[in-house]
Amino acid sequence: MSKTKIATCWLCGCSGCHMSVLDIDERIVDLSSLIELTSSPVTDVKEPPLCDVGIIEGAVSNEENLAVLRQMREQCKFLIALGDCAGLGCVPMLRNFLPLKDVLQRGYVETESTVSGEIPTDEELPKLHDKVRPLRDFVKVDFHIPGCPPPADTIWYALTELLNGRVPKLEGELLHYD
Amino acid sequence: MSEITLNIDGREVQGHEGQTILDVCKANDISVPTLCHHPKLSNVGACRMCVVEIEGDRKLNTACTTPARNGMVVRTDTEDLRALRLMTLELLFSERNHVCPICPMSSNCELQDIGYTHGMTYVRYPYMYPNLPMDNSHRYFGMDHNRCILCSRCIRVCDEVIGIHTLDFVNRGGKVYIGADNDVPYGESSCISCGSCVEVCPTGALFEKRSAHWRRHGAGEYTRTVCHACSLGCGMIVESRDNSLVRILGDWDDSQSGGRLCVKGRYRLVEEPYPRVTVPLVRDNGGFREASWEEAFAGIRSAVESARQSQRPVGGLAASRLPLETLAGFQSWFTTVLGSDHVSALDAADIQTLQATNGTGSLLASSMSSVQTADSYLIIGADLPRTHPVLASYMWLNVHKHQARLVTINSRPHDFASLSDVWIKTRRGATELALIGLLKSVAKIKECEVSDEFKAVAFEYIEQSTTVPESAFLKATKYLVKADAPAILVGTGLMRHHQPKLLRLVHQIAQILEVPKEQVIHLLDSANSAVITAAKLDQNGWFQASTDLTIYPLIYLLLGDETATGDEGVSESLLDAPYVVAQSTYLSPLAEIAQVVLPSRNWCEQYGTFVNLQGRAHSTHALLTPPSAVPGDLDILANLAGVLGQAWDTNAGQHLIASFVDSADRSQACDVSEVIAKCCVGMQK
Repeated sequence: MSKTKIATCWLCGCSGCHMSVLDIDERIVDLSSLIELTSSPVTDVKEPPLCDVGIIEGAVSNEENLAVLRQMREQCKFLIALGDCAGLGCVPMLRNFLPLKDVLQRGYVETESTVSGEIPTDEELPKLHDKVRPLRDFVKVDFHIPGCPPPADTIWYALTELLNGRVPKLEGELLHYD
Repeated sequence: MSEITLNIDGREVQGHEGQTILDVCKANDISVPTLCHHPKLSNVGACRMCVVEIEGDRKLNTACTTPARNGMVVRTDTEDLRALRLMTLELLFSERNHVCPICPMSSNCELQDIGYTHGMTYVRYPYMYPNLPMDNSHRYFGMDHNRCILCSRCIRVCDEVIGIHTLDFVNRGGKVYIGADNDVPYGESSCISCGSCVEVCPTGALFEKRSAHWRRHGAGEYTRTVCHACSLGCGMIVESRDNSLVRILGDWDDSQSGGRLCVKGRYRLVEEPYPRVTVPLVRDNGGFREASWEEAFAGIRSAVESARQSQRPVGGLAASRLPLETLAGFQSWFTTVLGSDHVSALDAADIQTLQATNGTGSLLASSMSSVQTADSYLIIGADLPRTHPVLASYMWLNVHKHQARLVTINSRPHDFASLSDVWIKTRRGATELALIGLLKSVAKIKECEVSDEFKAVAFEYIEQSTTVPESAFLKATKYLVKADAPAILVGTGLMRHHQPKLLRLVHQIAQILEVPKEQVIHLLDSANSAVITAAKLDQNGWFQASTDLTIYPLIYLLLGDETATGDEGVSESLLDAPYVVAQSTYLSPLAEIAQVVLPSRNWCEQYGTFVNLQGRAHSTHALLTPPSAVPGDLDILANLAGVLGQAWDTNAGQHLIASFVDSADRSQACDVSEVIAKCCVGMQK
């Protein structure tokens, strides 16, 4: 049987959900015999190759996030939104209540460690969106795993169910919003 | 009530007329999800979680507001209902900014729990991301409008249970939010900080600042006990974890307080107002330094010895908020070990006045139920919303909802001033004349005789001395005489300065109004004020507010977590006393008077019997272990007796409290699921 091809990436997130994937500990050995990880945030692959499952951490905060998300959607048969940022915006969404210019001013100019900072204007830089939004506002998402981060057991359960051709049902201890 | 039979989810179940469908479901263990419903509040059907299908009805109905009827066929759990409830939930989540990872009440939230039980993994609808403020102006709790689902439980508890109605909706439609008074910050509003709204909030919208985030790491233990903060002894449930107090909840099953608590019980009891005393402290260079028990005891021993040589008695004063066993033990210790019967309680003057008026028997006869059902109130010398807020709730409720009348006699501004139908604002020191005025006025309308002594007092003189016009007395009289069930409450302002004649006047007024004198409520100060005589304290009427304490070579203060004497005169007199020992939980300004401060346990580390002002007795257990192994108050006294060369057993005073041995055991670990079922307030898991 050919291995299931999985690609992962992170958008506007903190990498905590990817850490939680690694928290499946020794089960990662079993997982590696079932899947082929085609691309991830630590692989130097410009574009994810066609694959079966795409796992995305983080919300959509700028043009680049959106481009990557759209690419993932095109390349992956089944798309998973991993974690609260991907699913509901979570912490990055907290800037939605402030005007964008205030956010940039605070981040690039007013932070305590900044000396004569300025808001970058380079055309090459991806444009920040006015509001941070979850993935499903832009593309069809096939499955959501909530949690900040989702527990490793939840991730393991969801992946093994999917690999066995079943739709996971998150409930009880496996379902967390925090 | 006639029995009815319903078919719910295919089961024949019994109920009775007057119940809602939700009532019947609950009584028959049929679970229906709810958010805005609270068992002790009215139902509004706001959240739509409890929708059910009723056969023959085209629309869906909310179980919490639909009356159950005989022969009804109800379905509570169908595919359609589950889908609809999930949709409602998702709309609730999308409407405001519910971000569980940063919420202080996460894992202690009914909205979250209901999301889990419905398997909600995301929200299908676009988030509204409204820009909502957070109100952190209140000292004890915050209001984060981002997490509010507008269930109105807070509004209803404030209006229906507390009666003050500080909270209500502001604006309409999509712009609606919960506001205080005329939309002022919570901290500047008429809020009395009872915390009931926080307790019933199903989400993290209203959250206690102290216990915020505390429960995210696991559940605590819940223990039923009684409040130690005043003489009412309201029922409360203490949540503790890892030997720390987390928060205090009202006991909704308590017939007297009905789930109510006040700022003193809910918040001040968990605060540490001053530095904690954990080891003996002795005076040194104008301050205090830590000392060994031996050194502290040796200092006390030499003070006791020099007092013996001077042949003057030593004095002892205990705080009436200590357990009855401790008070009785202190009395026994003082008379046996120190050989002095000048041992009393800090608020003994109140009891002396009461006894001088009533005789000893009637002290515990007063009944709170008369306050709950009264249709007019006469409050004399008390600022009830400050001293006994839980009792004040009945006045707010009955005045606002049942047009009860409120008459107050007070020389000082008080929190019932604006609520009073008549405030007999007498001049200071003229309370007696104000009472004579009211007595004469009441007697005139009721056509009763008053004694010649009062007949002789002309109304012009009363008007002149009290600065209260006769019309005010007449108006007050009209309200009191017309009432079917007047209630009379007397504050310590009338008792403290040993003026039995004032109380006698009150009792004469009560007699004419046909209020039995046992039902005149005397608002004592402390948790055990009512039984200091049972502990044999102040047998000789030694201690009064005017007693000169400076002539005593040694004063022993058994304070526990009491931090004030309740009377400025007493505090001043203590300042000049030659040698003071304080056994105190905190290094309060009162304890700082002492030459030696010994540690003491606080209210939740000690145990014993408490008898409230209507004679309800409860024994409590220790909830926490004291820091640095602070011994019990009586153990310290026993050790000190040994140093003084006397044998004294900590059980020596226990026979005194034999009359209360059958007191109900109130301190019990609660089954959390039972608590949830009864309180239905966010303390799941």
